[in-house]
Amino acid sequence: MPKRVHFSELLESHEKEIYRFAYRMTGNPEDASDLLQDTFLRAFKAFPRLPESANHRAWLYRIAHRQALNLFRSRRVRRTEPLDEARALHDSNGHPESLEETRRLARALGHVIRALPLRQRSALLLKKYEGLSYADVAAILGSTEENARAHVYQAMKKIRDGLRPKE
Amino acid sequence: MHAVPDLPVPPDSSCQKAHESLMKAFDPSRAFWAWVDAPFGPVFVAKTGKGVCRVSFRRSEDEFLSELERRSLLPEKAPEKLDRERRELGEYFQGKRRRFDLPVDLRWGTEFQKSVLKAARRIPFGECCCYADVAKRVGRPNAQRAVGNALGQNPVAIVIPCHRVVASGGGIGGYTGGLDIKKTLMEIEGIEREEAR
Repeated sequence: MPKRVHFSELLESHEKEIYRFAYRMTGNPEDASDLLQDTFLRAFKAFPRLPESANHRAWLYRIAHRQALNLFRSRRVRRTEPLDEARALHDSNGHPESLEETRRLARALGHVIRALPLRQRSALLLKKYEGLSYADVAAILGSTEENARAHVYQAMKKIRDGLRPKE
Repeated sequence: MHAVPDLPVPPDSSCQKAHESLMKAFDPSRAFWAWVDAPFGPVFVAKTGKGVCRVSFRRSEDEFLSELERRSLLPEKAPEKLDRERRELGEYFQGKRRRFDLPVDLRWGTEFQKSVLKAARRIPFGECCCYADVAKRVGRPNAQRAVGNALGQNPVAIVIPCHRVVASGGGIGGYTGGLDIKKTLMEIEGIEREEAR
């Protein structure tokens, strides 16, 4: 009989990545910490009913995504950030040659990502930064795989536009 | 554009702070656990902030952790946090301890189960009483079978000595952990029953 996965193992294996996802979704450590707690406390309650064969990682992300939607709906967190702020951060000499420039680009990208609609933001982070498959992203968002691809495509397009210096 | 530039990762200090807040949020559900050697194999013991909540034997570690999870507990292996429990149980198995000074957490039981377990806890080392006696002590003289069931679900065996409750007329009665273990515990305490020999 295969060994049962215990919740403490899930916590140990996935806490850091869920926090990273939460941090990138919300853009600040306090809201990310709230989101991490909401996710794991909810997961803990639901865990006894989870089938053994479930994809635990995708399941945790699905909860995190839903909790993020709740968090934003509750107006505790600003939903999106204006794109102009991102442009202002990015508009300097344009080339990320120095460490400072790399940081500036990362900050600008962070701003652009937080300006995305929530589902696009989740889809982008899950696919491009957390390395989940489109099938998993679709399951997490509760959409079709085609729809998940469209979210990522739109998000990437907005990033490209958002980071392009103003002419 | 398929590749995306790196995004900042959260600083270590905020990861640590978030981890601490998360663990604090889980505090009411956390159960520290360890195991101790007994004459019949390893005995697993777990405790919450309120006291010992589970003593288990004849179980694999995997089964023991599942038992805790079924009670909505978050198990965390931490032998260093169960020094006292391990020491007292170890001394008991060596015949060097006659009573446990450990708080217990019986929050999952019904009021009746709790009253039965409290009555069983008052039976002194080396003595035994029958199901009917316990039923009388909890004010339900006709509830011998219910007493047996409540004892059979004792979550903290040994610490609450349900093995000291025996059948009237010389038999040793039942034991969820197995009659051979009940006999061993009775031997440790020098309890003599016809059937235990």
